Amino acid sequence: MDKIDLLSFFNQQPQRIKPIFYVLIGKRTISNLLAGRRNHYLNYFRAAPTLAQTTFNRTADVLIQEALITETAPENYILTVKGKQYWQDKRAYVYRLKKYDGLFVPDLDVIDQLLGLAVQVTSNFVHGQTHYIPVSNAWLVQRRVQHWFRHYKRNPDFAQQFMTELAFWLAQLPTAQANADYMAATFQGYQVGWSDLALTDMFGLTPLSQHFMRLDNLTNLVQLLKQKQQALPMIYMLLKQAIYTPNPISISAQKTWLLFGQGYPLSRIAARRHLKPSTIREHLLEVALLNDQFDFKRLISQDDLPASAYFTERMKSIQEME
Amino acid sequence: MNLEQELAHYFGFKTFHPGQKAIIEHALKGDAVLGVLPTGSGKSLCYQLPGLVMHRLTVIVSPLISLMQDQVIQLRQQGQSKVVALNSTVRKAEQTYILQHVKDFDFLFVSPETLGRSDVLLALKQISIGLFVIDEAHCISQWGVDFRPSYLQLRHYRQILKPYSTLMLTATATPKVQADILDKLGLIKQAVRIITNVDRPNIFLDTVKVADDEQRQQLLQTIIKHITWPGIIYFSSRQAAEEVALQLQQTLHIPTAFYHGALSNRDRQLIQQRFMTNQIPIICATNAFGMGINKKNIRFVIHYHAPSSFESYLQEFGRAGRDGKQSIAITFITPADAGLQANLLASGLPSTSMIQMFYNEPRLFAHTDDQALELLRDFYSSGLEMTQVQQMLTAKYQEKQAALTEFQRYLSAATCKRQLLSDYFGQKAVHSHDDTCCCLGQDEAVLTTLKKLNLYQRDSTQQPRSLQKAIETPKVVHWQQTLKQLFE
Ligand SMILES: [Zn+2]
Repeated sequence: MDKIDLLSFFNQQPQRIKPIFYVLIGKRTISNLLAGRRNHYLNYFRAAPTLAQTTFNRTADVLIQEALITETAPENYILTVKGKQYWQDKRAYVYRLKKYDGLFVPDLDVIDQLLGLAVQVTSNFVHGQTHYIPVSNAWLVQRRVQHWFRHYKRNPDFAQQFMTELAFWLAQLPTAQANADYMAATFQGYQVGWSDLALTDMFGLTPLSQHFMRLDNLTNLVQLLKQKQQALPMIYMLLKQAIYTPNPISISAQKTWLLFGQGYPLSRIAARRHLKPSTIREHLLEVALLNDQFDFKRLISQDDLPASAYFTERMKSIQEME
Repeated sequence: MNLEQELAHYFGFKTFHPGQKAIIEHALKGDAVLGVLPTGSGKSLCYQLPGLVMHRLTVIVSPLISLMQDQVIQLRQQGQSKVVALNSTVRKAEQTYILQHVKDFDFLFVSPETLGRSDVLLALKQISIGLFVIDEAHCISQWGVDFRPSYLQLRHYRQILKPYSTLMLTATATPKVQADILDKLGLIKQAVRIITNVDRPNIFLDTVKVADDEQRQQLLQTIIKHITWPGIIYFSSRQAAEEVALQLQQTLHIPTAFYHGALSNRDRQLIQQRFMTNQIPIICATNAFGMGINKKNIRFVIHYHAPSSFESYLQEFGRAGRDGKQSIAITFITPADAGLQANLLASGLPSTSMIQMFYNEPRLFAHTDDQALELLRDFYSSGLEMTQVQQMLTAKYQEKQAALTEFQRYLSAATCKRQLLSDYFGQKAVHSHDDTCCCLGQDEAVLTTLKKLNLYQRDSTQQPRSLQKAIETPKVVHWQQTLKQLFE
């Protein structure tokens, strides 16, 4: 993680540092989600699941030491004038997410692997190369691509068709930061492919930003497949099992919400579900945060549990953000 | 059954390497076998062939995720499709799938921690396992520098799984370690031992003394300019590997890549691929590179920093000359203990702060394949407390230091290196030193040695044709052009 990557999350609004890390790695607690929503980075949810805490902390320390951010209230930081200048100078190295929304996406890593392997297999097939190291080692990914490849390879111009479909997708990507050129450059095929270092040289983006750009590009592909799958039959065939977007609300919270919707008071829901009242409240916070259909008025009439400042405060801040 | 025919049928080879056939015969008879075969002598074929012939599941226990992956790739490249690895980096959904369909596979690679999971043992118990392979078996020995506590459980798992035969494989084991392996697995009475020679006669053993870092850099450049490619240069730190790779590329204009554990999977794959296909003739690497690398024509292995033990030295230089042709292993040594600390740091042991961080929240480190973290996960899942781990690691650190001191004595010894090496591994062989054996003491004129061995090139135009590649300069091209390159 580069300084500028983390700096891009700060502005004049005082905010805590830790939740940024937890949102990036995808740790779902109400307070993390709330911080992400309040400071407009909740779409970064699980955008960097392998980011190491040590790396993150080290980067945060550097921002503080170099006075790029400063503490205005305990544990709350804002961008300094120096930080603002630094951001102006270096912002070209950063890619901010535009399409991706981590709470509402399928597993993009699998999609990435399927696509990367399909490109590699097709490219090597076209060039008559049979020995190469596959870009993905995952058994299910290899099997899926194998089936896909067997299905199409009898068709003499399947590679052309695949290329046309990829082009259809790449042509839709934004051009300001060369999303399509970047995406194509990361494919590995017959005697084609760049190392991470070379890609950084070529596109002038931090490694994390490259990853974010990738997430945006893949999100774009998923949306295309949902809207115009007839234009991308081969890619659809390859990815159709992987593009399902799960409900961001946990199953347990969904059950609570259902009962809530049927008008049960919270104490009855807790009794029926054999759960602690505090858990029921956590569920409702989760729903309120992640679903804009949540009915705050209902809560007043159905909440018969002892008052909890923690709960009331959080509910209020969620309502205010709407 | 004619094993030579099976070998030709499955692998296209006509003859076995020393030791292979005997090991395979015992495995097919249902014995427990300890096989000690040096790197590059076809260790993995010892389970691959009987695995295929038996038509039953072969389970291979392997200590490192990267090693597992390399072996899976290798088998799949040989046309074996029912090969799979199970470890903590595999996704949950995929793990479930594998366990549900485990009887459909021919080869299952598994880490000892994963094997110990109750769902995994349960799934495996229900099918009949042909061959149970313990790869890198020396990891079970507390005498060895690579000790992994989770390996101690293998005796128990083996009793649960009741395989038809058991194969313990290692590239390096002194007689003391061999006995310890069999003892810890409870097989000391019944196991057959097949010990082959560690000697690699076609690799010249060379050591060169350098006064300081500057001299070392210059000497490396001179050697790389004239030595026959391709080759690997080993470093004890990631940073040094990166710096020297860039330096060689800039000053000598030779495509050079660096390789270490911090690279992305994508990068590792790309660099291995390019080295295999001769796109890149020289790799600057840490010890993360090479496990499972199956390139036959590597002409040299240079240790820019001296390795930390006899075992890693043997493993690393053993990657040269698998085609049997003349090759060379060159080790640079600096006076005093320079590089010693770096060596210990690079030896894959976690630091005190790392241990603390890990024990605070082990979940955060569940999916990385860093060697030190893999070791910590192993200790943790074996139920050891943090203080115990710290004590054990301190002891291990001291052992490594002792091993290092002994190895440094070897490097500066004035007698025949081949003999010393073979003595260390407890082999009875007597070597008659000659001109193509080793440098006796220090090599004062490396280029002369290269000439003598026919590994000298006047300049890069004399290098093998297939290796003469221009350095590719990264340049952004339009995506349409990239698609054309890929598919047309
Ligand atoms: Zn000698």
